[in-house]
Amino acid sequence: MLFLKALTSYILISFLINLCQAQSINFPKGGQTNNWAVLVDTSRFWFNYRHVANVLSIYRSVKRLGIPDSQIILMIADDMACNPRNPRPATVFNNANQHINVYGDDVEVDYRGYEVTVENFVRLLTGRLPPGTPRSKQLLTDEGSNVLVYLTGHGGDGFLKFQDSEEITSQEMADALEQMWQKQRYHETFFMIDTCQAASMYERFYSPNILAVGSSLVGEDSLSHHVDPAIGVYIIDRYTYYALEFLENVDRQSNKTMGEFLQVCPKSVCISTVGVRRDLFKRNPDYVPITDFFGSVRPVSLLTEVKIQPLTSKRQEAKESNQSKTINKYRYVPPLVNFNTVITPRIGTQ
Amino acid sequence: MVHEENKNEPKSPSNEEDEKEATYRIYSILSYFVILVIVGFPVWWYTTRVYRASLPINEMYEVHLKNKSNRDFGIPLSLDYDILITFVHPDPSGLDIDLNGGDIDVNLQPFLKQIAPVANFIVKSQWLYLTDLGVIPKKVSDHYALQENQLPHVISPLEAKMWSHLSERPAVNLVLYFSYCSTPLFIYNDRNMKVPTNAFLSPRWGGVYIVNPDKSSCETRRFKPDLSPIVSTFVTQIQHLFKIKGVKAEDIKQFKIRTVEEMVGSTRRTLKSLAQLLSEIGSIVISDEVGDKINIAVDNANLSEQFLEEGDVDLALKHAKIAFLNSEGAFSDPSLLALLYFPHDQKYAVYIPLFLPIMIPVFMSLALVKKWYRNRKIPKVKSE
Repeated sequence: MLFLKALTSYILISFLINLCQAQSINFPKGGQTNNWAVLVDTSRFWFNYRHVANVLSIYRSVKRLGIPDSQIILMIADDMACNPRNPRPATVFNNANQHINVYGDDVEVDYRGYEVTVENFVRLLTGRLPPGTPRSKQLLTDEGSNVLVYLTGHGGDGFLKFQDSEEITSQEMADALEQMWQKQRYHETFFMIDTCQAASMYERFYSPNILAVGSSLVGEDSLSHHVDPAIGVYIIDRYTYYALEFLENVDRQSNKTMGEFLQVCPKSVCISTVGVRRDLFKRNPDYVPITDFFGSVRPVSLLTEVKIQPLTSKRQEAKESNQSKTINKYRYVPPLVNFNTVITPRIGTQ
Repeated sequence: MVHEENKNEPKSPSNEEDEKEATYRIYSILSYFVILVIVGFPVWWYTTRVYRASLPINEMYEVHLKNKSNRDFGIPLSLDYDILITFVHPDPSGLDIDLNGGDIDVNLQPFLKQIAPVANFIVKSQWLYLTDLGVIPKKVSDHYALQENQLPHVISPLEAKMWSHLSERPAVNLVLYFSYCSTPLFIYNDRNMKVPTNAFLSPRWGGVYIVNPDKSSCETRRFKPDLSPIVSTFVTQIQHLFKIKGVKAEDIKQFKIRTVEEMVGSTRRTLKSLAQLLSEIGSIVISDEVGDKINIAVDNANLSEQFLEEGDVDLALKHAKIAFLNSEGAFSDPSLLALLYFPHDQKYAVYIPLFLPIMIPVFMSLALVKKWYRNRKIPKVKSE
C-alpha cells in the first residue's frame, strides 16, 4: 500500500517536473523583425462563399495574434457580404452556428473585386507596382520580415485559377518568390494553400527559407466542410476549418510550434492528404514557435535620457500671418447630443 | 522507265516548254524556302526575343558587398520622410489644450535643417480626439503605471487610427499622448522604476511621449504644455530612430557617412540581385529607360565611393542619393514584367500551330526539287 502510494506520487511529481520543463523551453530566436501576411481569395460567384470565409477567418486569427492591418494585404475577389443573395447582409460566417461574423466592422480589404488579378498579385509580391500606388496596397517588407502567404480558391495541377478567367502557374509563383528573395524582401515565408491539387503549386519553388503546406496532394481534391442550410452554400473548407480550430487555441504567449501546425487535419478528417514541403526551410519546424509567422510583437525601447533643445524664440512674421488666416480652420467639435436619455412626457393640464 | 525513254527522244517543242515550266516551278519553290526559312526564321527569332538593353552585367555582378550584420533594423532607407506628429487627446470636453503643431514644427526645423542633406523631411501634424491608449494601467499610490511589457500593445491600436500610410513616403510617427486629468500616467521599466522621460520608441515605427496635465491646469480646464520638453523629446526620438549620436557637427558627419555607405551598399546589392535574376528568369524585359537608369546607378555608385575615399562627404552623399534612386527605380520598374503572361515554355505552344502548317508543304516540295535536280543530272551524264 505504502509502496503504491510512493510509486504514484513519484510518477505524479516527475510528470509535473516534465510539464514545467516543457514550458520553459526557450526556442532559438528566429531572427525576424516584423511580420507580414498576404491573404488571397481568388474565386468569385456566390457559390464560392467558402473561399471568402476561409480567407477572412485566417485574417481574423492573424489580426488577433497581433499583426496590424498595415502589415496585412487582404485580397478578396468578390463581395459576399453585400451580395444580393446573402440572407444575412453585411456578414460573412465561417460556421453554420453563425457565432462569429468574420466580416465585422473593421475589416480592411486592400484589393477587392476585379483588382484581384494575377498581374496585381505578382506585382505586389515582386514590388513592381505602378508609381502612385497607395502604401496600403504595397508589400513593404524587408530582409527581416516573415511573410505568411495564404491562397485559397480553385486550383489544378500546376495552376491556380484567378477570377474564373486566368491562371497563375506554379512556375510564375516560384519565379515571383525568387524575385522576392533576390531583392531580400523576406526573411522566411510560410506558404499555405487550400485548393484542389494544392501541392502542385509549391513543387517548383527553388528559393531558400520557404516552408510550404498544401491541403491536398497532386491528383486529390480538397473538400469543403459543411453546408449552412440557412445561407444555402458550403461555408468553409476542411483544411481551413481544422487549421482554425488549432489557431483558436493559440494566443500571443503560446508556445505551440509550427511542427504541430503542420500535423493539423489528418487524412481521417480531411479526406485529402496534407502535403508539406520543408526541404527549403533551414530550421526544424518542430522548434519554430507558431507566433513566428502568425503573430507579431513590436520591439520597444524606453527612452532613457533626453537632451534639452533650446527653443527658437523668433517666429517668422510670414508664418504668423499665415497662421492667423487659417486659425480655427480645424477645431474640436463635441459629439451630438446623447439621445439615450429618455424624455418623460408631461401628463396633465397646461 | 517511261520518263527515261521520253528523254532519249529528240526534244519536241512541248517538252521544252514543260522543262521551262518545271524550272520556273523549281525556282518558285526555292524562293519560298529562301524567304521562309533563310530570311523569315532569323527575323522571327530576332523580333520575338526578350528585349534587353545593353547592361554592364559584369560590373553589376562583381561587387564586394559588406556582410549585412544582424543589427536592430531602423527606419527604411528613403530620400524623403514624413514626420507625422499626432496629438492624442482622450478627453477634449474635460480639458482644453492650447498647442499648435506649427510651433513644434518651427522648433524642429533647426535640427531637421542640419540633417536635410540626407533626406527631405516633411513635418505634418494631426489631432486624434476621444482615443484611448488601449491598455489598462495599474494604480500605484496617486498615479497610474504602464509597465514596459504593456507598451508593445499600445502601438497597434493607435496605428490603425493614424493613417500614416496615406502618403507615399515612409512615415516617422511621433505621438504625444495627453493623459486624463484624473489618471496621470507614468511609464515603469521592468525593474519597476519610473522612467523619467515618460517616453518610448519602437524602431522603424516612431515614438510615443506621455504628457500629464498638472493639477492647476486641470482645475482651470485649460492646459498650455511647455514646448521645451516636448521638442527635446521629439528630437531625441528622431536621433534614436535614425541612429544619430548627437547634434554636434561630428555626429551629423558620421550620420552622413553611414548613410552614404548604406545607400551605395543597397544600390550594389539591388543591381547584383537584378543581374542574378536576369540570368535565372528568361522572361524579364529590360527596356531602354531601365537600362539608362542602371547605367546611371552604376556610375554614380562608383563616383560616390570615390568621393567618400577622398573625404568629400557632401558630394559623396549627393551621388549616393542619385545612385540609390536610380537603382530602386530600375529594379521596381513595372515594365520588367511586360512578358508576364508569356513564359518560355509556352512560346513554342503559341508559334508551332501558326508556322507548322506553312512549313509542311515547303519542306515536302524540297523533295520534289531534289528529284528534279537528280533527273537533270542523269541525261547530262548519259550524253557524255
